[in-house]
Amino acid sequence: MFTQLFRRPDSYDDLSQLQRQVEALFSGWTRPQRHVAGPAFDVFDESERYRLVADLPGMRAEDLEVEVTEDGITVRGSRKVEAPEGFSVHRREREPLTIARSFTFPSKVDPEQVTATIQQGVLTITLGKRADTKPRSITVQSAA
Amino acid sequence: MTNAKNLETQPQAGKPTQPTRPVHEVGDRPVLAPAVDIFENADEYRVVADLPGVRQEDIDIDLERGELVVFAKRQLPREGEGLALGRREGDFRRVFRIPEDLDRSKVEASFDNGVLLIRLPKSERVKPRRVSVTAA
Repeated sequence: MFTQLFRRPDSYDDLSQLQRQVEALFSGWTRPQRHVAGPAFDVFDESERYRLVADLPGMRAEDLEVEVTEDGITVRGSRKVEAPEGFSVHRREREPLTIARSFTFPSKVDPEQVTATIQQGVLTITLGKRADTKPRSITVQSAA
Repeated sequence: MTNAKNLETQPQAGKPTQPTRPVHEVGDRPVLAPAVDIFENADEYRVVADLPGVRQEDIDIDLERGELVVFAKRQLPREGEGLALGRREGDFRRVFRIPEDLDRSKVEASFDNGVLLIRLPKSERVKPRRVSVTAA
């Protein structure tokens, strides 16, 4: 009941919420975060299609899941890195790799024209552009 | 047992190759140091390196003058307009100082899904040997 009485106006609520968000943003800033960006990838626009290329060393086809809609794709997968049994460790730089990312493209893609292959630890996904979103050239005619 | 502690010498990223020890023509291409794991047991050392996008035939492994040099050429075919370019251009190279107790003739390497595994067996004389006591 009292809480209802002393409730601040909504605008203050919004403000404190914003403040919390800003604080959350900066608290993450100071913490050392490695590999936040995840695996390295390239995206190309090859006029008829898009091509996404991601470095995923040690990942197999069965470790990966690709979901596609006309707005983009979502790629999920992970690899484990384990020390072989009975071995002592001198150096460990290779890290467990996780990819869980959605990619959107400047124009809609045709979900029927998507292929994904992984070779030598590199995932390549090609996505055909939807026909009705491709630029169409129109011949300009002179009105004689 | 622990002489592989400092197995690795500094990766010579970007440095020109010394004329007295021409390992590879690096030229102007950037050199990337791949992430590696190093393991050891009584029988062998194992070096594991991430080399995504490298063809097996483009990997060179040299054992020379107490060093293991791993070099892998990497081509990034780039066609069309780049909307995002996060993969770094360059070849992979890394140099390790190797212990003297290796049987160099038995070094093996395999490449699977962009991950290189080098197995460096120890020579017989350094392997611990179990001697069973027999009754007289």
